[in-house]
Amino acid sequence: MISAEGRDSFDEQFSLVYEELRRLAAGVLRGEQNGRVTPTTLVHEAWLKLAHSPEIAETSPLHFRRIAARAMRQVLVDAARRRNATRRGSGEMLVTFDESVPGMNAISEPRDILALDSALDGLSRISARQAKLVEGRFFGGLDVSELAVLLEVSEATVAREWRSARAWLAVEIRRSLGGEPGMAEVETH
Amino acid sequence: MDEARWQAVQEIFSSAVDLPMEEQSSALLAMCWDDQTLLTDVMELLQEDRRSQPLLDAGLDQAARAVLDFGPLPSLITKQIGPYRLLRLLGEGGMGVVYLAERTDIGGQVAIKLLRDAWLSPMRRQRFRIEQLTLAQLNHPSISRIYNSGALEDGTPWFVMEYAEGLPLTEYWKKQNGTIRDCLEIFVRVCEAVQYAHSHAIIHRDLKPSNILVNESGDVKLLDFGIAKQLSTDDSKDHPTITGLRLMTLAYAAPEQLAGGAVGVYTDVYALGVLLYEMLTGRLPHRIQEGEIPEADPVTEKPSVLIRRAAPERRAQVSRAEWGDLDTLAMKALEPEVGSRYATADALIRDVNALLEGRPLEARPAKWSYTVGKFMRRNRRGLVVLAATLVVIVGTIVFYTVRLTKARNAALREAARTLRIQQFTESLFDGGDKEAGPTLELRAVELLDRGRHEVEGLGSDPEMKADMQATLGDIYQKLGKLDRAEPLLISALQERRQMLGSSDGKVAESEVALGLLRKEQGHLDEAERLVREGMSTLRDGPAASRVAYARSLVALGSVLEMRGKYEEAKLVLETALKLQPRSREATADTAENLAELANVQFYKGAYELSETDNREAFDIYRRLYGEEHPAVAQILNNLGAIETNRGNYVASEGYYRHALTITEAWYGADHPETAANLTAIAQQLSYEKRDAEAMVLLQRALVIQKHVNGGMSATVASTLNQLGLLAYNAKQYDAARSYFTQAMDHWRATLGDQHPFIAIAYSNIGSVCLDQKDYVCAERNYREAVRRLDASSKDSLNAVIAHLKLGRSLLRQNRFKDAEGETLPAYQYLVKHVAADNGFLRASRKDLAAIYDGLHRSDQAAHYRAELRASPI
Repeated sequence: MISAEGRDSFDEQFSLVYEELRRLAAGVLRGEQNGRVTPTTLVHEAWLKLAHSPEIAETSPLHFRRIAARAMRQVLVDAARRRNATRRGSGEMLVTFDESVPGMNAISEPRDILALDSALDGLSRISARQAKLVEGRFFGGLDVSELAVLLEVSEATVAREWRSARAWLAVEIRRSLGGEPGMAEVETH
Repeated sequence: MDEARWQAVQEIFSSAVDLPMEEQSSALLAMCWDDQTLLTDVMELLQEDRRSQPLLDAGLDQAARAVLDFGPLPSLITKQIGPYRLLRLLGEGGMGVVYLAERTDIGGQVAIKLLRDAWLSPMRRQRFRIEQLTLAQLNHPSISRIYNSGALEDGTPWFVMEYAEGLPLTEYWKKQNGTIRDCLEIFVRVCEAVQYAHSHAIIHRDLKPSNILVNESGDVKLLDFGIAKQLSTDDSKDHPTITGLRLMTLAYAAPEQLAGGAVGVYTDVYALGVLLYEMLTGRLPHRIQEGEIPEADPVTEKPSVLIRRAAPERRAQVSRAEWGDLDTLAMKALEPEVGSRYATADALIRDVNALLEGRPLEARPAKWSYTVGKFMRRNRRGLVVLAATLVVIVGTIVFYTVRLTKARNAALREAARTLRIQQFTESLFDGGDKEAGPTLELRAVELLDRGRHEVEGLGSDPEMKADMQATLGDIYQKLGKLDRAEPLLISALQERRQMLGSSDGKVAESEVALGLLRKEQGHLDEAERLVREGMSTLRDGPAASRVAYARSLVALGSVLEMRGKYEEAKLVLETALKLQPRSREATADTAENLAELANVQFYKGAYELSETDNREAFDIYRRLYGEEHPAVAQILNNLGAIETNRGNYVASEGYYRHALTITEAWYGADHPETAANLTAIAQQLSYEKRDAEAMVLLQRALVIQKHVNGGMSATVASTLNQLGLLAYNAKQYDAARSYFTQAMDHWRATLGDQHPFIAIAYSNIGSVCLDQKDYVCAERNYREAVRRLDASSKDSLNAVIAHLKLGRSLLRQNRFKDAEGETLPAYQYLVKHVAADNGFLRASRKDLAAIYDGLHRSDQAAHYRAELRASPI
């Protein structure tokens, strides 16, 4: 297979990774409730699986995780939508009354993810680099030094920009969740 | 907030954030001046910064775990998907759940299928939607229409289809317990629906009983057409996994589907075969446990045997002759090798109708049965990769599958042989990681080298040994290892002659194969003799050997072409072409046929025809093998050669280089195909005057060719010829003459003195003489060239150029009238057939000007000079 340059290639890679992550997530979790599965481990497993496939072969591990972060985000968002208890007017949502949902915050977690997702969209409009930073850190598990390499800035810049992005996102998320107490908040001084 | 604003806010935030509380306020006031909103924004951020953010600080692990529970599909209560309201659950299948639904706007009941586990990325959902529109075109009473489709927000695809009631085909049939005739009649209706879809270029790919419903009135409804295609990931070819196949029920999957190879209408035919078999006998043709890969069992029992054993009362339903036909029909639909199977549903329908009407079938009982399946072992994860690799090596490179003959004696012998074959094949793959299958770097040649020695161990079964040797010999030949191919092919032929007698079809095929080897080695007399022998046996043989017969004709055509007997070759190849399936049913054989014919047309100078046939071959190969296959490379070479001769060097270089990439990747760097590619590129580089580059490529090619061929060889000759031309261009006349003479020697030894290539060699020597101003020598050589070329291909470019050169040698001797007799016709031809900037055309004009000067006809001289000035460089 020849991978095309540019956009097409990214789309191909993204689709590949997305579907692999989804497969992995479903496969693992089906067997084990409360397994030690996290986005980071999923991405790692996807890398093991896909590293030799022709579309991915030319990509460095770091860039793969970049793509995987984006894909992971999409997977989680899709999953969150699926789980969301909110009834929407579009009529396309599946309403769930499934009792066997694990965890106590069954309602809040999907909402949190969706709020984060839309806040990230907002962030990307005012600072694409910071959005990439957050995405990479959150969904791809990249650490500060890796992010510095990926974004081609210093580690100090990464730290600084993370801090302000964090604050901005927090403001946005709080707003979009309408002030509902999703998770416990503690004010520290 | 916009970008600029955010930058400003950030800067202030960053400066202030680490200051102690007391200093913060004043710092902020100073930095913000009186921009109230700026101040508020920064303060908001600072406030959030102080708080702990459970989500943002702890990461997503917990949240992810919570949402990633793709557990059982939540139960749906009064759901709405678009305009469809779900009413009740109809059933659950391997792929998803089906609900009965009704349209809330216009009423009417439909079925909605939700495909779980078929997650499409957002990009693919779009494509999915578009592809569904083509499926909606299928409008046939026996096909469940697809009305609509889409995807839910989480990616779950859904379809809305015509609601059909009924039992799955095999269940219905069991319940009905009708006659065999009734069974066939229903079967035909199913086939007709499939044929309809095929005529719209839609292959089902997943035919099975649950996808074919029959209602009380006996009406048939096929479901889920084309869905399997949308859902299989595009990469299932490259790393096939069992999960990728999960969508298919393995029992109905054709061998080529399991191996990840090309899928066609014949794949659906296979599934139809399984269905028929199951209806007739109540069993599957291969005993499968769910989850295992089926082995094509060489002792698949004939339906007649099973029926008579299990339900003796049915014996009366079918006459004795018809039992045979029933078996033939059923087994032919189940043939593992695509070439032996019914090629289309239509062919199958015709034979079923023939059977019902008491007419003879078109199919003949299969004489040889094949299986690739034995090479798959049970319960190995790497299984499908193994199979895929073997099919690639054995099926794709050489278009054969390994043939095993049926056991003649007891099942014991069968079992022993099975074990031997398994061991043999496994030993081929020893050295690879057995769990993961052989690494892709393991070259075919290495595999075969191992196999070659293993074959000796099969001495106790001469027929199988002969089969193995024949196959290996073919593979070696295709990979360029002629020396290794030879003993294998000879041995196979001898063994078969001994065991089967001279008029057996297999012996004939061996003769043809050996003949082709001889052709490549340059022993053309023997080649022609062998191929003719094989061909006449096959021609007089049963109709089942039609494919082999057509192949032998193509082989004969290629030998004749090599001998320069272009007219005869053309006739033979055209005869063969009439036997080949065309358009959508075209096979690799068709393509090969077309390519050979195209070559003959090329040598005769019929470039338009050659191009057309090449393009048709290209399309077939591309459809069958994709664009990275050596067969495609060969066609690209051909197209390149055509463009070169037309003078379109940029186009031809493009073709050649692309071909070289493919060839080198596939065959490796020391294969004659690679050398041929190099030569072609070099040739037209030299036309473009990039001689240094051309030289390098040619010498590389020469090394390869000498290594491969040893002795005298036509291919070495071509390369020497090219080198000669380069030397000539560089004015190294002695070297050039030496190259050309060597080339002539090789050609004479391998192709005979009358061959057009000898003419080319003479022509080239003539050119050297011309430049050395030895015009008498030039004339002598050119006359030799002209004599031969006029005899074999009068109106070709090569002949014309030879006349042109002869004309020039005469011109230089001031024999103007004689020169005119040669140059003028040449010019007239060139003006019609080559590009305006063609060097030969310019030369002809130049020469004519000089000739007419010599003849004191200055008007005409001036005319040609003017043309010369006006022509592009």
